[in-house]
Amino acid sequence: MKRKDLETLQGYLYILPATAVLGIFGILPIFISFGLSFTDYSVASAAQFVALDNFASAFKDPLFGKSIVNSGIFTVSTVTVGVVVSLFLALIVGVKTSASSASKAVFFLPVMISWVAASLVWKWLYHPTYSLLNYYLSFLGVRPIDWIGSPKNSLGSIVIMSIWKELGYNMVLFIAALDTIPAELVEAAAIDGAGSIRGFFQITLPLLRPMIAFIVCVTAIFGLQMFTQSYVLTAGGPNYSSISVVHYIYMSAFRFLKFGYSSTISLLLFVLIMAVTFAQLRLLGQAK
Amino acid sequence: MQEEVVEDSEMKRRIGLIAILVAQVVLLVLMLIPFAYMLSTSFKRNVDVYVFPVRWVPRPFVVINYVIALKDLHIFTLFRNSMIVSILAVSTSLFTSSLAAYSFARKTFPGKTALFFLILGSMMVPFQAILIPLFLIMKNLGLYNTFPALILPWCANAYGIFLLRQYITTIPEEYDYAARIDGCPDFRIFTRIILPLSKPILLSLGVFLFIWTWTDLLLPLIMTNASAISTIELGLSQLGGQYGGTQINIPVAMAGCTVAILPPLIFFVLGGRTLMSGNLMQGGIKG
Repeated sequence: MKRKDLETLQGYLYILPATAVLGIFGILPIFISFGLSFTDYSVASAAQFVALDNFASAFKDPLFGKSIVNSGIFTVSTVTVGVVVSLFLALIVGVKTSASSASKAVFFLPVMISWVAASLVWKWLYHPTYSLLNYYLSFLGVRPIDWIGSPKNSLGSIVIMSIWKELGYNMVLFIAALDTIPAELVEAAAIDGAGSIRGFFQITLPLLRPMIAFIVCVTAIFGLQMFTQSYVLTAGGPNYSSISVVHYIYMSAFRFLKFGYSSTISLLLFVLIMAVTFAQLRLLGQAK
Repeated sequence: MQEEVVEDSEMKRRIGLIAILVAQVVLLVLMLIPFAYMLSTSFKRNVDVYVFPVRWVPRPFVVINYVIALKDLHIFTLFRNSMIVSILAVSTSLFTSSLAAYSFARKTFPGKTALFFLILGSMMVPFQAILIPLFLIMKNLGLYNTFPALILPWCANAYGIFLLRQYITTIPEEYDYAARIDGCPDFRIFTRIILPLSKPILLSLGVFLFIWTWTDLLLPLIMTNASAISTIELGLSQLGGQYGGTQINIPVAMAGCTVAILPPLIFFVLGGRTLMSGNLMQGGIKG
């Protein structure tokens, strides 16, 4: 066999296992999902083509609307608060002291545990009567908060817990970004009379823009895909007050058994994520 | 006069450092509270859990919750299942991804670029979009409620292929040529040269894949049904319960959590240490 032919054969052979798996379990489902969203496939009946009916239903579906609003609020909150707090943390932890290495490790700890474990621990922290948080807050004169039982608070409780969990990850990214800023630049600004706060806003912050853009985009993408907290911490409730879009996708498919409709919602979510990412990159990219 | 000015700013610097140190410690403690509470609760009797003010060091200190977790929650079985899934998925994935990455990095064949971008593109689709079709595929293959259903989707990883391919392109091709001149068959070049040189990146990828597969909830949730092959995360999620209705045994749940979070933590600590001690670019040319 000619050398070139042998190489070609090897090329295909080596990518075969990975491509086969990805093809069947990664790419094929995408097409199936796309197709399903135009049918009314449910466990009861075989799939029947219903064109855009599912899309129309989705726009009229109050639960779908609620889930979009919830995921939206969740995403905006975790992105803004998360980015600001993790940057603040990176600035503090970045200063070398006897506690800085320990701090870095500890802040990263929540990132390592699963969302399920985190949700269970926080569920205990958010207990309606025996909440540790309420106990400590009572010393500050704050009345007991019904974290999960109240429809007004349930989403916020998810937000708080999620920020706690993701802080360490973004903090590490910011620390790496801060390290690339030459100390001379900040010092030069100080010599020129800029106080450290002005120096931060006029020198450090603009140089951090690429990293901020990255963290905002990625956190938003994952924020819109939130599932576990909605499922384990609040079970989407009470009264669907905290249900996320992905939780609703799961519910439509495996509780209401509407596979076609569920696929439609997944498609809509995918489009939403793409649109948001594109918009963010545009806004943050042009600002550079 | 000059000395006073210098001492002044030195004092300011010291005070600033102390303030930051205090801030670091306070934040450290705050971050740890949920963990400490989880551990503390797991060693308390059920009745003691509701006692306030909180006793951080439980008295009496009991291990019964872990025993209950082992017996009633079948923690051992759940743990074993997660281990099976994660270890098989990670090892298979590392192999298929590195093999494919080697091909994309070193070989030329028609359609290579298009295929590579197709694989990259598949990374952008969120998992939820393929949930239902994946479920239907597995059901039709007769694999519903079996280990393959939990493992197969992880057996190749677009992220891994991308990462490894980038890494392999930095390995100088001279090593390949040298081996080829020595008559080394192609696959052997892969196993004896490329793989060993890729150890650091394979290790990090392995650690991340392990954590992802171990902590995954959605796939086990849809692929199993009240099953003997439930993973530990799935089992854990069922401990949620409703506070109003069924009484969940909180300290047992906390014991379960502690057991569940240990493997990813341990892998991360081990993997991190090896990463730190090894060099990313170890020389590979002999003599």
